[in-house]
Amino acid sequence: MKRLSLLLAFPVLALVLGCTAGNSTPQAPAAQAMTYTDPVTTPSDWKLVKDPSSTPTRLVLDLVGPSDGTRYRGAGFTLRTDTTQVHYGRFPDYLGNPTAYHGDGGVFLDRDATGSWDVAPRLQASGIKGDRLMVGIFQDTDDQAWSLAWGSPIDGAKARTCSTVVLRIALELDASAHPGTVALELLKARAIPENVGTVVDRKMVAIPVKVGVLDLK
Amino acid sequence: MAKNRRLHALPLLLTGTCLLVAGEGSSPTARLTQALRAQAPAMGLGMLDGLRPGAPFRDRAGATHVRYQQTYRGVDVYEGVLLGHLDAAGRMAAPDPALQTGIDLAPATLLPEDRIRSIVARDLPAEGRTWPMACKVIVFPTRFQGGITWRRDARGYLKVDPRFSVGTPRRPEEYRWAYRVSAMQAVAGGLQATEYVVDGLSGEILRKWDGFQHGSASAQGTGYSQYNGTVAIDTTQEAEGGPYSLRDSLRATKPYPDPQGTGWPEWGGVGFQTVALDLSPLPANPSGTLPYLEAQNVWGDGGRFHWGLDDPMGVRGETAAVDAHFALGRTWDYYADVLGRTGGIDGEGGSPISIVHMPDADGSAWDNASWSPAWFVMMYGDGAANGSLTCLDIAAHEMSHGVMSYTAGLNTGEAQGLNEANSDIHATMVKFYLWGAGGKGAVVPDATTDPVLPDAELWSLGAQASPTGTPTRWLYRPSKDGLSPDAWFDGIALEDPHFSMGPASRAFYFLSRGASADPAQDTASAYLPAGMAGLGNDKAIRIWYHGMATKVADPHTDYRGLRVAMVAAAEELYGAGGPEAAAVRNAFAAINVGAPQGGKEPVQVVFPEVPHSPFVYPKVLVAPALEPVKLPVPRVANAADTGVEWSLGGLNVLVASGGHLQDGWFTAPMVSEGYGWPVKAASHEDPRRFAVDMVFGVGMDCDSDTETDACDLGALALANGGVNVYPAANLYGSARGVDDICLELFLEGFRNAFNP
Repeated sequence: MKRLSLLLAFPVLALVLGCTAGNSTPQAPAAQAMTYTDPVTTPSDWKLVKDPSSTPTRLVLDLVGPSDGTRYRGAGFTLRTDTTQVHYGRFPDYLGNPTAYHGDGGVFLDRDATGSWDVAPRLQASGIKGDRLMVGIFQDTDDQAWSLAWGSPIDGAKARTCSTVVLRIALELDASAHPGTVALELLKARAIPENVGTVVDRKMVAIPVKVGVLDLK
Repeated sequence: MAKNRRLHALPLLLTGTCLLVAGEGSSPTARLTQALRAQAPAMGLGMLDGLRPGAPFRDRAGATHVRYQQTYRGVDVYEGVLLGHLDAAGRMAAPDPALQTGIDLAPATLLPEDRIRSIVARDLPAEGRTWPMACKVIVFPTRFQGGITWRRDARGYLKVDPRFSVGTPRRPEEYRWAYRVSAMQAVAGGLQATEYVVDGLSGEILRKWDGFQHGSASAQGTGYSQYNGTVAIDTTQEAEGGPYSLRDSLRATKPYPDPQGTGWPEWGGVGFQTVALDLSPLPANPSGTLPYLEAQNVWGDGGRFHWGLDDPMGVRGETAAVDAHFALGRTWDYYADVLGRTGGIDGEGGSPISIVHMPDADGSAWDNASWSPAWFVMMYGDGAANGSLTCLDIAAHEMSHGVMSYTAGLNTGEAQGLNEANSDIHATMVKFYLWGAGGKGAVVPDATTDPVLPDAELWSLGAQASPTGTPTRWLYRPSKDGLSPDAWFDGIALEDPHFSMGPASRAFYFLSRGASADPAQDTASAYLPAGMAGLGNDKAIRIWYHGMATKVADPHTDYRGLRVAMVAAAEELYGAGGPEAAAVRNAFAAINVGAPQGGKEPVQVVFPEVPHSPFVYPKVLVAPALEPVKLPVPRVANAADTGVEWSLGGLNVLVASGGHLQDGWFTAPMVSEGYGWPVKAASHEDPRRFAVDMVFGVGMDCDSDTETDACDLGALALANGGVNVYPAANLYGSARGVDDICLELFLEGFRNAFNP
């Protein structure tokens, strides 16, 4: 009820102000830039940190894994934000067309060291629905099967340490955005551990990704 | 890097006036080849491209036609074809190219053949015995890479067919060195031939497909056949005083061409042979076949062979062999005497092999017949519901597949159906030729005399082998089988080719016999209500064969392309502006392809291709369960009102329950398996014209948290790693692992649902 009263009062107040100024209704100043404060983390954390390529109107965030030597076969997450303030930015896909909602960090490979042997496919997916961004990069590890067929595993289809950038996402400032803090809510994050298939629970693991703070100014 | 291009139209340099081909004294093929090589740059070919001529075909007007295989650095180029022509005066006419241009591949060290064979062997189902595989290096255009195929399952639903599906991301390169491998294996359901293309550097399987096209010293012996009475058959006495065999060296004058290079069968010689299958273990009989031998040159007893009761090598076994042998000889004569193709299947007199008494792998009778282009062999089962599938029209159907392999070579999509129709059409003409003209002369009559049979029986297939006399197919009204369409529509390639063939068979019937103006008749068409007059069998088949042999260069020719070829054939044989070309236009208009003579272009509804579709049929849209996906908007041409009415269905398959279609958006229900939903868009202006597409719905919530997201892809990748942690029950059943097909489907479904 109190909210309704305020809403009703606002047009009246605006009308008064307009008459006083002898001008159109003033608008709140639009935000001009995004600032992102990296989260505080430990070496075993997954985190979203600001990429140096960021600009005031395009914030690039890097998903970086733990630096404790743990190896994985891929990771992904679902993020929600206020899409009336910012929108998800695109990256070039493997053909160079700006269709993807993620950039590849290059941790997972689809060729071996010689560049000619295919290892298992590097699977990448990103997409948006409403205010949610879904993104992930995984290695379709198949070294066991290749090994069975030809007697030796193919280098490159191995689990990888993820202490460098696994993938990138981007947030772009809307022209109508207004200053303030924008929520970045990580709804779900999963990774495939190296020892999958031998661990007891045999599941993808939840990874608590530390997320920083996004302010519009 | 040069663009991947397929050249379909030649520049004016070649399409203008005809060029007189120099080189008196050399053969027509050599002169044509020399002239075409001189024109190679204009056709987009480079210094490293070559053209290897096939057997020349000389038509009744005296023109010579040669089909060339494109090569690069001496290696065959996949789907690289050029059709060259010399008229009767020796002048070169504009060729019909379907070439692969812009190839730029450096020499490379390829994987050894035994490794390629092991890759294919690992991919084959772990079932029965396999035959030796031969590998051939080719250049493979990557635009043909991969592709998921589908089939109508036993219940009637559209399902993914993993036997012939490859799920792999398309390569960015335009061409790859590759191996073409032909595998043959005994499996449940009979023998299975599977064709593979395997990357020569990485060992990745790039494409695979069904290698079968189904249809279900000279001496003269006496054969007691089941279907043709007592007949004279051409046989061979293997040695003086020795036994006779079912080998006909009068017609086939060159050895078995051995396309696999394996030497199979090692006892073979000149003359087409009819043999029985021998599934004794290797290496006791590497050929896997047994020749029929008979001391008196008298074969069979005319009785029906019963699988499991009769000895395939005994007298009843001989009876079915007599039918197959006799039918092949009559069909060979029909091609030679009526159509001028004296060299049989390959046009050069190469000796094919007919194998009778092919069993199912489980030991039961096989209810089918087939032609294998890779093995140059026809195979006949003894039928479960039917008798031996060696009757005249079925055998003629299979040999016609063989001729097709060396003429238009139609395959894939609508072309597969046209290939099947071509076989039924020639099979019908063989019946008229044998039973109406005694298999003699150069004319196909319009009626039969011995026996006298009604049109309805003659214009059908397989009635002889049916205990009830009910045919398998009806050319004049294909829908009498309850499954085949009578007219073309965009999306007809989604049907099995034995159903999508129907309209082409019907068009030929109209061309020969005409169409009734009485809508109550089976021979009437709603697309040509006034009906039409036919040309008769002889003219109709000459136009048809001339079109296939000399006007169709692209193996992927569709219904519209076939109409163009047939009109051109009619004009070439009988003159432009004549009643023959008009009849062709009307016959195709009667099956909803193109305008009738003098009429306007009809309304046409066509779906666009889906970018990146992982299916062989490039219009299939993949939809994740529970996520609305916008269907492609069909293009409606030749209509003032371009609106469409959407509905589920349109194909002869069961429509799974739960699919929701509204205003061009489709939502699949949560499914335990992948299903195809046919969706139909009919023109508001003319509801007879419509298009059908397929939406393939898949459950993608692989971690069962009621959401579809990118982490599900991780779950799927994890399952695909060979550890089966997540069986991905929503995709392919609870007990099965997943493969790259699932990953391809996931990525495509994800893209369609979440990337606006």
